Amino acid sequence: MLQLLSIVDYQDNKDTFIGEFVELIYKQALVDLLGSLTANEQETVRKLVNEQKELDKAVTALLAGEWAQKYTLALALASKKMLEDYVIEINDTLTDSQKEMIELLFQTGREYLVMQ
Amino acid sequence: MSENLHFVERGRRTTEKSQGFLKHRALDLANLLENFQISVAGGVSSLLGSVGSAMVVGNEVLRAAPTSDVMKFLGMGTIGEALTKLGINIAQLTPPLAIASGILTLSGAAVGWQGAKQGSAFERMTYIGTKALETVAWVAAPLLGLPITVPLVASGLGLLHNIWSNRHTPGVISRTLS
Repeated sequence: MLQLLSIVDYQDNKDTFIGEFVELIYKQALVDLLGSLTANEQETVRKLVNEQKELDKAVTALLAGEWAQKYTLALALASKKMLEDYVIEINDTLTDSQKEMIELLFQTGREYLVMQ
Repeated sequence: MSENLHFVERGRRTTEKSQGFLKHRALDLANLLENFQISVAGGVSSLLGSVGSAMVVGNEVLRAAPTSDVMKFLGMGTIGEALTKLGINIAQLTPPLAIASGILTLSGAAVGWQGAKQGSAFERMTYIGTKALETVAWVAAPLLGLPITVPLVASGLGLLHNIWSNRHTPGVISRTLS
């Protein structure tokens, strides 16, 4: 993510941006998870999350319990979607060379994951 | 048309668009979570651990969904990498880190000065120089997002000078600390 922000020449604090970006991924994944559940299941997750009061604790609780698999998948999908949406959003301010570098970065990421 | 934009201007526009993206998405998600009657605070606690948590989450995702091509990026870092990997976001710690490091540096400088002031003019001058450099480096690092190695190197120089100057006043450090 830091590499991506460097490529697009993000000029403000990159760590802060990543922190907020990750927070949104957590929330998007939570919304997606809730949307995929029955009313009873939604109620269980709602209680679990609200008991934690803070997002990072709620995420930890979700990843530690019975919702781990579903929430992990939701996180993966939300991350992918959020990153794609972000690149689309800033697309018209990027040069062709920046776009090529981003493409290369994504490709490297895919190859890295294939090797895992 | 993007190619014709001035480099700095283009970067500024990208930064603005990036922050707009976060702002709009945050509003949308806040509304959606409210519809689900979910109430969780983001805030400092969340942000302090967010990058570190992202790495934990990233590992979970990599295990569970190896086709994801995204989470890998969340674990990459350059600035303050060591701290970030421990879940400490150096940028979020600017005021306490700057204050704490400033106090520590000045305390160390006061102790070392006991020895340095007994040395030559050159020794006194270089002592003041290294301590000033050290203080500036520690305060500037979190503010400017410099690599953590910058203040560490400055502190290394300061420490070497302290050791050198303390030859005039053996035992002054332990006496001062006690």
